[in-house]
Amino acid sequence: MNGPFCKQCGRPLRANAPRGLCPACLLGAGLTALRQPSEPAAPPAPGPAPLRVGDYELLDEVGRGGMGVVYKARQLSLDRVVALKLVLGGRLAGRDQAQRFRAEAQAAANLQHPNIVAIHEVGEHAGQLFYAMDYIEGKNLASIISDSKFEISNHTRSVSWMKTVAEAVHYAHEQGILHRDLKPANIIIDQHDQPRVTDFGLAKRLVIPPRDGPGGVPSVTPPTSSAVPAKAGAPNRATTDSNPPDHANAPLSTLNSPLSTSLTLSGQVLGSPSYLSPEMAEGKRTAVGVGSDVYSLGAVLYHLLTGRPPFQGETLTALLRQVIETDPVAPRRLNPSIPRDLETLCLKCLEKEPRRRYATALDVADELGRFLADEPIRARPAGRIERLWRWCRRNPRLAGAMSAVVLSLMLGLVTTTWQMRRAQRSEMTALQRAYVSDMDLATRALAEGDIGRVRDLLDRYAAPTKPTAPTGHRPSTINHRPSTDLRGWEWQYLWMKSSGQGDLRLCTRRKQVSSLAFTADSRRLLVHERQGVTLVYDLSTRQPVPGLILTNRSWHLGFCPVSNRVACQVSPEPWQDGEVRLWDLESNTTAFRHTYQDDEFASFAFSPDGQRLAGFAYVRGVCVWDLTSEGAMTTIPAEPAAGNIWSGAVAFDPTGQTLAVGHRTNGLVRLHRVSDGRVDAEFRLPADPVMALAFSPDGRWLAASALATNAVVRVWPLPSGEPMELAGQSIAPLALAFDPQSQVFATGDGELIRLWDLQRRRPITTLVGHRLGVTALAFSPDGRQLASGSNATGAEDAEVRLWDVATVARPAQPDYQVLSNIGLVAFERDARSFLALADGAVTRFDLVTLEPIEPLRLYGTNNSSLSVSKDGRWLANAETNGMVHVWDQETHQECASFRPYPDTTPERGTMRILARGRLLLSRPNNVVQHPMNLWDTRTGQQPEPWHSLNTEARLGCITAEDSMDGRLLATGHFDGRVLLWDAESGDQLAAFDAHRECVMEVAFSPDGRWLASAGWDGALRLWDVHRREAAGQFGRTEAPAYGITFSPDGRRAASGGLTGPVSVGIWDVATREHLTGLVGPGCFFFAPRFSPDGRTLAVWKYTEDVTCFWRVNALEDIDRQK
Amino acid sequence: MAAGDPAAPGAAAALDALCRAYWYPVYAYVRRCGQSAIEAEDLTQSFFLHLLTSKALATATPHRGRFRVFLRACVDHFIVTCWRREHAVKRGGRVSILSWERDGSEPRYQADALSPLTPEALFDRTWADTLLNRVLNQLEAELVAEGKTSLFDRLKDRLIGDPDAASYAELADTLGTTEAALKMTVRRLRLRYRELLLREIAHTVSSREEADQELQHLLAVVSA
Repeated sequence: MNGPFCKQCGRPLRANAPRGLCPACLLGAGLTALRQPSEPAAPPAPGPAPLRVGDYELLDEVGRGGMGVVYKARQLSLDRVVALKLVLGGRLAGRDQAQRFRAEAQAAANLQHPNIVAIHEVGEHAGQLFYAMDYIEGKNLASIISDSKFEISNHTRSVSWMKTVAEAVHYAHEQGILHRDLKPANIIIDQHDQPRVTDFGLAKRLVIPPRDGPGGVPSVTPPTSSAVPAKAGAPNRATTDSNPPDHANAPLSTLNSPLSTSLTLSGQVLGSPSYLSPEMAEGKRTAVGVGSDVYSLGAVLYHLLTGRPPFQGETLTALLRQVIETDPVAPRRLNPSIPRDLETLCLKCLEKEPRRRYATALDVADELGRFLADEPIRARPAGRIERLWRWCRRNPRLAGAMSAVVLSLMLGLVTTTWQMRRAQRSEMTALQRAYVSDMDLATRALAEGDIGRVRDLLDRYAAPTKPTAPTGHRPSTINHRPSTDLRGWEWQYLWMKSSGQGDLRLCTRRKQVSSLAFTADSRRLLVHERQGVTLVYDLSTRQPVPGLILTNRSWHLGFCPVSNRVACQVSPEPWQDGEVRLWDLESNTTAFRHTYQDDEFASFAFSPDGQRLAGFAYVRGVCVWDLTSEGAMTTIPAEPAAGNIWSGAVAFDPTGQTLAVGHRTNGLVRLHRVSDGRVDAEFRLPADPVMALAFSPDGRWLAASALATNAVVRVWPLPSGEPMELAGQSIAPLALAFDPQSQVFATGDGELIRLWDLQRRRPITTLVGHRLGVTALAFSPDGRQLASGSNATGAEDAEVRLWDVATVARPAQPDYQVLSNIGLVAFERDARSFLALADGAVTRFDLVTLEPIEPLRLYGTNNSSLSVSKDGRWLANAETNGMVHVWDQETHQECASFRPYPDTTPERGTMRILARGRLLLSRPNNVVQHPMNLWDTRTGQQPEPWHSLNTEARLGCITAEDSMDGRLLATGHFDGRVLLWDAESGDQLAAFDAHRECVMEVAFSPDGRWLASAGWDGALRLWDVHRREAAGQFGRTEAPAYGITFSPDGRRAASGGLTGPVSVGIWDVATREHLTGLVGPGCFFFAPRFSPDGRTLAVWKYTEDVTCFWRVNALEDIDRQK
Repeated sequence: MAAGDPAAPGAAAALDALCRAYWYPVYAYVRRCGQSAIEAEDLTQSFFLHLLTSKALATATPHRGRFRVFLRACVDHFIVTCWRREHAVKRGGRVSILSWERDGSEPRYQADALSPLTPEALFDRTWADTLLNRVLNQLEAELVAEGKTSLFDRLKDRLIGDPDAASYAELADTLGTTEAALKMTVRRLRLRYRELLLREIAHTVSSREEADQELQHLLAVVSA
């Protein structure tokens, strides 16, 4: 932990904390005083994270759950590292929380199983409840699954983990303990690839049989939040400060209470919703049992197999509803490579009714065992009729559907077909939901810079590129696109955002590209596949140079641009005898050999003059060869060998006099004098092993990275000075590179490449393009190009990309373009242009370049406002003198003109021509909270019934829109109502109480079926025009919604909002779910509009009269490109 | 709540004081909503002018419970509707701009801008900071008025707890007093601090329950 901390509660202190004091403690003192006014001296202030808790010193926060914070901690008396869990909210924890926490520890402490994380001690320190458990080095399944390197196609590994987990869970069940919160985050995969179940956060006793004897659980006093657990006799113990542990093997604690103590809150939904069983989601306390854990086992397995949890929803309510009502999408639909047995097994765990699932976790383990042994499983897949039957039973229209099915069985084919179709529709809905949630996930992944994940999610719906191979090499993309294309604007937008810019893909390789090097003339690039082949690419032809190819087992290469020689390791197998070779590219011959026994070289480096070669060997340490004197070798011992054999690094400084060695242990980087091997300087990284080293060409910096959970990249100024740590780096890079001018420093960060300006200590930009982690980087000697190589998985090849440095090193450009002072845009039907105002003239603009093409003189040059009807036929322009003219664009004839306001003009941007040119919506300029007037363009009067509505300000109209054919009119009002009218007759057709506050915009879908409204209350509602009833709403934001529109195909809606991620929202009309969000400049985004080709979205910023344009590529173009 | 009730004695003065005090949270909120420093300054200023000159405080009954919640809702509302008018008449053309706290706001915002908070969360956090600063400043002012000029700085850490009991003796030595007397002073200081804190919160809520809720909310905000 860095920076100042509150001495009282251990929270980090902000620089601008009130008078340098911790605000939480200050407020906590007030809360105590408020609740206990009679007590003069307040108990110590609240805080969940004292730096020391009893015998434990907190080292680092490693996780947070619903109830507790988990720290890596050192137990001082035993000098061992443990995981310490503290109740969230510290001493403010209520009695219920404290009780649940104790129950949690109590339940878990009884479990002794190699795959269950063991509890050592339960206690209380100054009122702070805690327990200590094994600290497991490893990663939890949640982070493993979310890692782009995770292979969902490796079923065997996933199944084998889950088999072990199921066995452990069964053991717990035998001990009378339910987990009740099984989820990927609660399963840690340790260093031996073994799963360990942790966090019995919601554990509950299953049975109540009193047991006696050693290690048994005698019945004692019920726990209270203040009671301290009594000591008893077993390796676990419970302590308080006043009752400290005397030695490591203190007798077993009972950690006990009457076994009937139930701490589950009736009806309260606990657990992680995506993995929660339906009975828990429904809060049916009595129905929760072994089956609930079986369900969760199935849910975790589902996630491992398909890459996503069985259900995903934007809101908790939506998610819970799915858990209760909807069948999960069949795993094989999401990933066709899943064997059918595994799908059957998984779906049996996920049955809605507990009795239809496997009876015990052991049954699940056995079935998984059968799968692993290639034996047939016992469960049988549900037939179509059975699925249909079950679906009908869960359907909200339960009775109707059931009787329909019964009837169908009796009456025959017709009804059955109808039901089957309905079931298919339900399946289609499930696919749509899967698409929607994937787009939402992709949006989040994009915000987190996880480009590989974005591409994976998008590729699931991409047009198929090649038929799926039945066996062997499996495509990484899981295409579960049904016959209809689900993709829309959001997919195109996310694709554009996740595509590289200013880069070029040179080639793909089957194995990780671990080294890249340019030749001195910058015209060739060496590409080395880890433990594979080395090729030389001609950058003008982008093809490998014929004949220049060398198979070698090197992890990393060394290359000397001066002598044009490559250093590599050649051996038949790892850890066998082999030789270090110099491959001369000029002559394509071997220039030097050095044989070795039983060793591996992780990396090589040439001195800048090419006279020395250094290699980092696992056993021998660093070998330095003097290439001028027939390869005389000296060695520099390395730190004791440990860790990966491909880690550790060497680098010569630009003078060639100093060799930097990055060791595998202790984060050690030493600078050795080449002449005699003496250590000149020593640096340390806070983690190990060292993965990469780089000197800047001007010799002013040394950069190093270490492989650690947290990204560690340090840059030391030379010869001395405070090291710089690169903020914003999320993954420790496997590759580092300086440009030849020492101005740009490049690091890999997962699939991103980050460019830094070390002089000014700031990031320059982030390069997006690789789908897998970046493993090699090199700048060309002319400084114009950056080459990057990536990792490979069994399913996906590695890539080599070339980046134009001048192009990419510019700061990131926004994804939109803006035009100022043009008012609202009116797209033309050809989708190549739009009309808007430019200096008072109605002007045609090019949609792609946004440049004005021509002013339309017919409409004068002195306009303040413009509106074109949806069909493009009617145009209204308001002149600065207040006159409004209405034109028929087909005949170019003026059909009406009048002056709506005697002393002012219609307000810019809010004027609309409606109802086939017959009605005009406007309000006077510069008047706040004035209702909109509807004018009959033929008479220049305000027709009834709308005129009367405006006489009472509260009911006044604030927005209006017509249907595509101009026959229907919808108006939105100050009081939150939306009214539907016959535009011709003025008959009111429907009234909807739509919003709590005023309605900002209304819109009809192109087919006239839906009416959408956006309100100040933040709601975006949908209305069925034919049925005249509410049809749901699009999500909900707290910030006001200022605009709404439909895409030309009617499948999407776009909303305008306040700022940041709610600037513009893209919604799926079928499911009403959020697809993605666009971040625009500043705030207040009104009147979103799609171009007729659906590719451009224009949004108008009322307060500044600025229009933002987002444009995406056509789907066909993207598919062709792919 | 005295400030929102026009019939209450001194309502106008109380309101004026509150607005001056909570200028910065509004400014930070508007800034975080995407406005430039200059725009945010003008907008915040216009907002408070509007608030003080209109009857918004007296009429907005649904929000009256908590001044903080109400004020933020007002800002939201103001930003969109009233600002149009302000734009139209060229802000500041009608009335002279008052100068509340504005000079120090932008540097302070720059420090707050580092945290990845939503405008709402930033508003609440800066609100809590402002509130605590007001209380601590008053506490210090009271000590200074008693002639104990540097005592606040020496003892402020102890408002929230004792780092270690042993240091009382040392501190008593440096302050030229006895350990027992020092402990008594600290205890009095704590009591007074709590009184002031609760009073400050009471200014912005209408009941004791709400004071409790407000404290809990602010505690959750600063603990996040």
